[in-house]
Amino acid sequence: MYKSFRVKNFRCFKDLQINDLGRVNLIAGKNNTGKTALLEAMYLHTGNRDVKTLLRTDRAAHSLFARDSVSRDPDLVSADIGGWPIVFRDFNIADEIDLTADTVPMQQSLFGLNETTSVKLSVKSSESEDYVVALDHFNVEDFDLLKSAAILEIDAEYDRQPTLLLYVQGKVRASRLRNSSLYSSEFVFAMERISSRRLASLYSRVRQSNRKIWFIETLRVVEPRISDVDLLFVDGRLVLSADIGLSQLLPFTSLGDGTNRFASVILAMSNLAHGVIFVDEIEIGLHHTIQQEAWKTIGDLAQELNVQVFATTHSLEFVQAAYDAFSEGNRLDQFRYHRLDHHPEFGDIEVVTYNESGIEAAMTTNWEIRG
Amino acid sequence: MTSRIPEAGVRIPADVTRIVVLEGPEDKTFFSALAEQLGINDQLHFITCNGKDCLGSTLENILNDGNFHGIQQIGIICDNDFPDSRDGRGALETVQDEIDEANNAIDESLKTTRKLPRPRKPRETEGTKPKVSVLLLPDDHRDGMLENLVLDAIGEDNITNCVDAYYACLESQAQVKLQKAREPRSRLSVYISGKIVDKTYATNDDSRRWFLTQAVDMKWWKDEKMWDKPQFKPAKAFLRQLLKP
Repeated sequence: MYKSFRVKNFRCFKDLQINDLGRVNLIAGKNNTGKTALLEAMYLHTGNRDVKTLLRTDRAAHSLFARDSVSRDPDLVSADIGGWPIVFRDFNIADEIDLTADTVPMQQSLFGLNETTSVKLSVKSSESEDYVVALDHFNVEDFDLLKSAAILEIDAEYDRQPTLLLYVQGKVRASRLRNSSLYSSEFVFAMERISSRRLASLYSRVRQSNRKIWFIETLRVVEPRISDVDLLFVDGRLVLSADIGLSQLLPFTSLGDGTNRFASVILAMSNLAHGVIFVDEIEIGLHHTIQQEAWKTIGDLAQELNVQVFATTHSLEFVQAAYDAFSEGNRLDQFRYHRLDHHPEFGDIEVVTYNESGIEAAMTTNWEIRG
Repeated sequence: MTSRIPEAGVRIPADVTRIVVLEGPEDKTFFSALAEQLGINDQLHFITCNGKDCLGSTLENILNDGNFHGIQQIGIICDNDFPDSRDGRGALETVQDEIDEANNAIDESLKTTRKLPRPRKPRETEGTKPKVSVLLLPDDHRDGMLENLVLDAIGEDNITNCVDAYYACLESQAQVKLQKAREPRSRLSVYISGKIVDKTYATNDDSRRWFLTQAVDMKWWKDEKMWDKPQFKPAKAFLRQLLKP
């Protein structure tokens, strides 16, 4: 479990240290203070090497990062970002990105000691001796292409070998290396739904562990009409579908955003025992009347399965609902609220962490805490 | 399960550099009216904490606020009304305790960059950024509250003599056991009632004004140049002091 996290030279962060992390962490702040970037940095630190997450520059422009349909190369991701500098603060690739965390063991974690773990990202210079060796991983034979290539190395202390990402003419390819991870993790994006295939896969494991009834009852928090769920074979693939009292089961993709996102979060958490989930703009699609119950469910699941939660929000209602849910359950100690602020003097981002006392003082006096 | 819908919250605007923390809405109305008289109302931001017991929470909120780094001065105004509470400690000690409580309550990670200094004496600023000072009401030495200060400023006139006689009557004829802590507010209300029925002064609007917060808008308050009374000088000096660099 993460206790603290430090991110240097990544996206908008010069040097940000966030301490006193709880089991459930809600992160707020004005636009462009780095809420999503912080989640991305931590997601990388867990060991996930999802190229799409690393390179995302515009969440709405999802098509930019879709799998390349021309080459049919599953490892090739289109990324019209102009190269690796976009990932570094102020395009400064001369300094490495340093992601360092203090962790305490989660049961069954690969690394069971209280320790400090670093993940470093650096751009390999074409002048460096091992550049050509690194290129060998990608099997690129077109030397003209290689002239404009750039390699990003992700070197984690817990990994046997660094991950290499090759950027060449708007395409990114990851080296096919077998990597370890610090924690299993999942990222639920703000602007895109989890895929139908992924939803079915996550549900399969919930079904396998005999938690179908639990899943249905949990989903009723957001959609009380759901009486059953099942995997149906539709157009050659399994699709998670729900019985909401219509003449046929309805695919989840046809249900509302709130139901889909809540189902995604719940299913992902159910499959993440001793892991970490990142949810961007967690409030999307959830009506205010069910937000407290949604938090209660997330809190229960986080505790039961030992999952650490990091979520961003802009919603004061959602913060209030979280406070109500955790204080009512007498477990405010598990909840932390962090706000990212632009520091006017240092020209950097500063984090303000509200501990139990802070969130209680703010909520009971109706103090504006979103910045 | 019900969900509370939060109202627009208390906030410190980004351009605020001077904050006045007061115990209640009456204090806020009075001191913002005084600041208006001085022409400095737009340079001060008034926040109420609903009693000294909640001062610590309010200061904790200020310490955690996104605009904390912009604050240069904080003035705390509170009544000197309970010497017997907190093991006999006075209002200044209570404020000092609440400041300590707020400093200790914030998250460990913030303690190196966010701290409020502890004023050692009333009306003297302490610290650098932010500076903190305390004004006790009615003054540094007497037990009481804002209403005592206003009663002092009113002084002695025909109506106050009647008010005195009324309270004496309450005690002697009606056998009412007067609660000293509530007396100043009650006396001032009775005094204002006398002003409401005074044909010489009262306007139609004044007939609906019963409390101190409303008195500052009444005709007699203006006619008798209440804001110019010497009893308000320390309060004026305190507000002006908050504007110093």
